[in-house]
Amino acid sequence: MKTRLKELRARDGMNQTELAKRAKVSRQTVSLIEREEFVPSLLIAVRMARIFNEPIESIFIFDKEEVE
Amino acid sequence: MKRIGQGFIGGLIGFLGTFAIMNGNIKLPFARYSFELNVALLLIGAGLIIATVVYYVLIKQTAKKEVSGEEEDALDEWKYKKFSDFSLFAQSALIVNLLLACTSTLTEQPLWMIVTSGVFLAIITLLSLIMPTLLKAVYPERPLPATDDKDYAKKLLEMSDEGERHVMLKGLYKSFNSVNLLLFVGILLLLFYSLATGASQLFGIIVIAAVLLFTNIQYIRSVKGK
Repeated sequence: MKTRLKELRARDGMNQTELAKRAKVSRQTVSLIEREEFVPSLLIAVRMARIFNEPIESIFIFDKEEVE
Repeated sequence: MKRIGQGFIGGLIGFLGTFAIMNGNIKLPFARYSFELNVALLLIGAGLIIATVVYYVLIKQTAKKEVSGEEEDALDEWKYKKFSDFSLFAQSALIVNLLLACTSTLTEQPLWMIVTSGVFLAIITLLSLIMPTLLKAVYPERPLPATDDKDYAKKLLEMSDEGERHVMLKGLYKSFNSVNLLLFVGILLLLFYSLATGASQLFGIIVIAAVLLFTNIQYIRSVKGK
């Protein structure tokens, strides 16, 4: 899974700590997702999509093989 | 690298086993160097206690800093890493000082050394008890369980988020596998030691085997049927 979290954070001038607070997770979790070492649950993905006002699939991008 | 390590351990066990069986009267010079061994443990134990205290003070002081932007993220990462180091020092200090208390008593060291080992053990036990207080200083905004809560560890796990649990699970699983392998190797080493020196380590072997059985049953019971 690829993610645009870092790019979107930079766009909105938000640090990891702030995003973590708004998404009700730890900064460590945000960092793990950004480093693509952890696939978040649907609930966290929805919260992040709402924070950035973007569709989930444009933030978390899966390879064709991963979803088929 | 892992295979080389496994090969080395296998080779070492094979060598020690053969050596032990062929020479039934080896004497390890524990008694002759017991004072030096205890002094070395005393110094390591003291060093680990000092490192634990230094990290405690350092984290407490730095946690109060108010920063923003990228610096806030960097500070949070620093606190997380330093708290992990603090936990490692505290845990290592507890183990080394417990070992020191055992060796100084069993090898009949001078009274001052036995008393010092007891004092060290008391200090590190107290330091371990204040660990939750430090966690509160590191994460003041998080609703951590009360430090005197009898289910503190369980509640701490429950309040961790999915990313933190993912990290813990990976670490714990790795550690569980290592414990299984190393205790198994430990039993073999105790067996070879018993054969080589004639000093039976049967009680230790039984205790380790019981620990191995208990932890594996506990793990299987936890995951079975979930």
